[in-house]
Amino acid sequence: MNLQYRILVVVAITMAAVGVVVILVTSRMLGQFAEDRTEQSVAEALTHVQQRFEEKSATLAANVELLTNSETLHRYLGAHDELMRLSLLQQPLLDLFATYQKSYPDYVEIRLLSPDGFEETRLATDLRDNVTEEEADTPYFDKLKSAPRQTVVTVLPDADAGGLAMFGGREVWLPRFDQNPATPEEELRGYLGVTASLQFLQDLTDRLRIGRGGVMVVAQRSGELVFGPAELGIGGGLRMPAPAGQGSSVELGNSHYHVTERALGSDLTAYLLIPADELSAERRRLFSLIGALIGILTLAGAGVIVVVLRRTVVSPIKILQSVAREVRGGRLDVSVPAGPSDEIGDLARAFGEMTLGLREQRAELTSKQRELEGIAYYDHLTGLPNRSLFRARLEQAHGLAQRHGYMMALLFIDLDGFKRINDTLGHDAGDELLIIVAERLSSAVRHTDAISVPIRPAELPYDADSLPSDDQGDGVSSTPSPEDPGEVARLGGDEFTITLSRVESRADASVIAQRVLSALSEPLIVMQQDVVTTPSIGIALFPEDGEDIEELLRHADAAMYAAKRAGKNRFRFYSAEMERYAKERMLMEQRLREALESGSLMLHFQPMMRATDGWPVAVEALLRWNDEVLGPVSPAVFVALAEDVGLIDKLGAWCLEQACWQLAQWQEEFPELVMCVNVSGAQVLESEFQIQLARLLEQTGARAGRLELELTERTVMSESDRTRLRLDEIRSMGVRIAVDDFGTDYSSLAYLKRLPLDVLKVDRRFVTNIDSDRENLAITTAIIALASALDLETVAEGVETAPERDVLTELGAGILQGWYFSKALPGDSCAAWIREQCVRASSGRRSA
Amino acid sequence: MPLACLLCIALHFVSCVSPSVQAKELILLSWVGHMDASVIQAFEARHDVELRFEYVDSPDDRAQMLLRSRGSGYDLAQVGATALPAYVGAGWLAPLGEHTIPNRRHIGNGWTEALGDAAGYCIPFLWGAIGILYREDLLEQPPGSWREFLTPRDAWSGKVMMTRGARELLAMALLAGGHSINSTDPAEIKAAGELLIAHRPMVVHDYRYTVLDGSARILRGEALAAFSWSGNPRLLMKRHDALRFIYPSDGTALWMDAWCVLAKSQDKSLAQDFIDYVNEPAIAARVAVSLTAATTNTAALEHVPEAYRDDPVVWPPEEVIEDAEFLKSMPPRALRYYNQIRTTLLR
Repeated sequence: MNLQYRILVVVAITMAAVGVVVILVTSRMLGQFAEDRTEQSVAEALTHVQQRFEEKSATLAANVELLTNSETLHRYLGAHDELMRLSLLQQPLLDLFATYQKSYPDYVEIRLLSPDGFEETRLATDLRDNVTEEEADTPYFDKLKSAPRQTVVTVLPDADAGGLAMFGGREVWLPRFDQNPATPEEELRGYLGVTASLQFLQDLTDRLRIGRGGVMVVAQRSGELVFGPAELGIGGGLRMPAPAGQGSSVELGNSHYHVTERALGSDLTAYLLIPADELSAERRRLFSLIGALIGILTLAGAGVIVVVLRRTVVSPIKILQSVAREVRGGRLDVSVPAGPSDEIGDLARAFGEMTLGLREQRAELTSKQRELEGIAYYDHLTGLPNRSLFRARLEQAHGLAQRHGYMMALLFIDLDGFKRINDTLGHDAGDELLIIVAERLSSAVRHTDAISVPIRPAELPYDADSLPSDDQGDGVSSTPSPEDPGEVARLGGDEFTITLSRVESRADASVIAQRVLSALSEPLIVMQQDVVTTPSIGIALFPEDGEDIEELLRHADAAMYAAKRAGKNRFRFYSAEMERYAKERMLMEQRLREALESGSLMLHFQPMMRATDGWPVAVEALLRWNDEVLGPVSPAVFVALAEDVGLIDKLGAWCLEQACWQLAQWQEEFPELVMCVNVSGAQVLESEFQIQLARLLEQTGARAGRLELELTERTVMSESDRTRLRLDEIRSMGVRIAVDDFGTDYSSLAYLKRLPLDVLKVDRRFVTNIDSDRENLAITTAIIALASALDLETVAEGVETAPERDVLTELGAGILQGWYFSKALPGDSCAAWIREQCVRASSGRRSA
Repeated sequence: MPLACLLCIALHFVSCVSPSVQAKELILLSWVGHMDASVIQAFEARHDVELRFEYVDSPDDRAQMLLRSRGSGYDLAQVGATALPAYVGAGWLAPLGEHTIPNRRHIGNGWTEALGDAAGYCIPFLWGAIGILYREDLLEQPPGSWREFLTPRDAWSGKVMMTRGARELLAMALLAGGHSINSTDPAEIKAAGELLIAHRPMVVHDYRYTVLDGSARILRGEALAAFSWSGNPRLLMKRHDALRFIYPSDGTALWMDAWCVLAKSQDKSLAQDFIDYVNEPAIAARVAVSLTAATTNTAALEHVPEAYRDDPVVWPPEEVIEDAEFLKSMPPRALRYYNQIRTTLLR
């Protein structure tokens, strides 16, 4: 994250924090404000309805009084005679009532009651129903009677129309008919009543809303709700629960309300109901409004701050940043612009000073760097150029050769059997060997046999920056001679190269290769031991064998392998065939990997016969590969390949496993039959080999005593304690151990004696023509004698003729193996063959 | 009740006139409609008096006028039979001596008897029935009954003329409901009232009775049908061929007007002389013809033209009379409903 965004984040977080605080504070204040506002609305609404009610009530009282005092009424009541009143005087009275009704349409009924409560004159809205004309027993009449000479205004049920109505009324007192007008004594002549509709309350409560859900209802003193919005279900006897006090809440229907009440006269109470959740909803609304506002302000503020910071901080820093890049790019002489006189300016100045310091340190660093680079380019073990420097030099030489049309040679050298030396003598020995080899190689290319001291990096005459070519620097130097010393490099392990940057012909390269061979032909003394190591050398020439470096490298490698195949300790020039061979190897490798998975590998078994009676006593498991693409591949070829490409372990394990399965299958039928399996030294030395073997035996059910592992003489003889210990472990499991190819290598008799062995297998080369080859006969005789002395069984392999068989039998070889008896056969064929032999041997024995 | 004068159309209503001290004058409270001018002039000449007519178009208006003047300011009044007991009770009428009006002998006996207790205060004058006047040319379905007449029709909206008289209004509605025109049953009266209220949108001109008006709306086609007392339509029917007057099939109400002398009259003797004068058979005949009304003066019939005597618009046919009731005075408490309905309608 760059500074600008970091500032933005810090500013945003700060502003957001401030925003949150402001929101909380203001929303609290505004929430209170909202509540106050709601309360104010509630109070206003209640005041409004109260005023309307009081106005109605006052007007009604005033009109009742006006009517009571009207002359028309007095004239009407002044007529003692009912006929007179009703036929003549009632009409004007009704007209008067009609005038009032016209002015006050809510006066649904105006009437005049007799003192006894008879409804003598009545004018209603149109022909309103009249429940009774005898009003003496009605609550209204009771009210009027209870308030002598007073104007009564009350809210009562309207019997005629249903619901409630506002009733106004007053007694009418007039002078007695028989009274002397001079001293008037009044008597009660009737009651004047006006019924006013309370529809305005219904209209009001229908219309009035406070906020979203605030409503007004009106209840009678009994608590029964009489007016209110239709949705509340007023009229169905719904009652107003008694609130605990002003501002308290009640439950009405299924909702909770805050209640504020106000008396309407003495009979009704108006309640303003605000849903309990509305206040909080209002607060939430304000909260989100303010939140949005403050959010916007925060963003805007952050934007301003970011712009300001960018001008005053980020831009100068960016300038410094670009200067710093220049410095990093090596330009230490850049000038740092003087910033303002603040911290940033200080930073710029400090930066300038730092650049100066850096400049001074650079010179010092450069020299040290050269030393370090030297280390990086040279192999620390041998002091020879390593792979990197080799590449660089090769490229340089290649470039030069290209420009000048020189011929160039690249030699790949691999030590034969180095791995074995390393394994058997240890890494220290290997290292020592490599150092000696490096020395010999270096002297070999200097066309002198003198062994010179290895070149150490610190003593190199050139600096690492300009990679070496010995003849570079004096461009006019003599034409490089064929004798130009080549350069030796170590690529790693036991791989070395020699680059001959200019040769005249193949012969020049041959000379060098030959020198290398002879240089290494003399025994080396490693760890006080004589060790022989031979090189295999591949040579590729430029431009003949490769135009570019990659090609050269590949071809030299292929040639080196060719040398190895050809028997090691020799050199080979690259040929196109080798490339083809390399490609074939690649294909074969790929097929071999697949074969391991797919099962096109299989074991064949070659029987071994007891020499004395021809009884089949053992079989040797031999790996066969019939690839569907490559056809049958010789074990010599693919086993070598497997060794090269690291598949040998897998291959070995596979063979062992298959052999055990086969052994388990056969051991019932041929209880004496021994299964011989070839294993490599590396395989046996694997850390868990004996555990895996035990597991395999258990898994397959093969008997350990019938399994024989064949190891080459070389493996067995590599005198290491590890090998001996491992062989002890294997043998203690009951597994037999045979030494294969005996006689081909160098064996120490003393050592042989100490090893836990069961069988010696005489190598086939000593068996061939044993009937005519005296030398072979001598060797074989000796081996058999030796085995006998060591109490080991002898197997002679490669028996191809009857004379050979006879000689070997005579010599005392216990067991014979070879084409003379049978070649290796697939499992089923082999089993059949063995059965046949058993029959034959039995009959032979019987006939004998 | 109302009778028409054929000659004078110009009417001027005077609400109140203070009696002149100098010139002798008789003030008559009369129905809209004008007596034969020669009859009036002859009396004025004979007695050196000026006759002044104050016209009313409903009994209720007349009562209000008398109430306002407390029964004074008038010498003579035409009063409907139904109002007589109240007027007597109010002390507004002067009793007529048995021999003061000799020509009363020409009045059919039945009429005087019908007046009952009020007979000592008045002399029967005119009678008739009520019916429907309509424009045959403008109505697809002419009303044959009060029920049809009072059933609101869209085409009649604001085109029906009525009266402001409570008894007449209720009589129509009661007849339409199949009840007696003198019903005191509150339920029957209420039902009748509701019929009238439902019919109110049909009514033109505040229920004022203007059939006698020479510029009557019904002539111009602005009104299609009208309540009418019998006799009155004759004048208009002479001016428009398509006017028809019927006695509705659901019945009619019979009425009678009488001459009364007011108790507070300044010249009761002259007033009685006027009543006697208009009952001279020849004069009575001329008056009746000029007012196109049926007279109670049987002797006058000898002096009237045949056309008048045979006119069913003036004289309700026998079969109509047979099924009809006279409008009677109401018991006071029942009258309250009539008042209430009238007030409600005219509000």
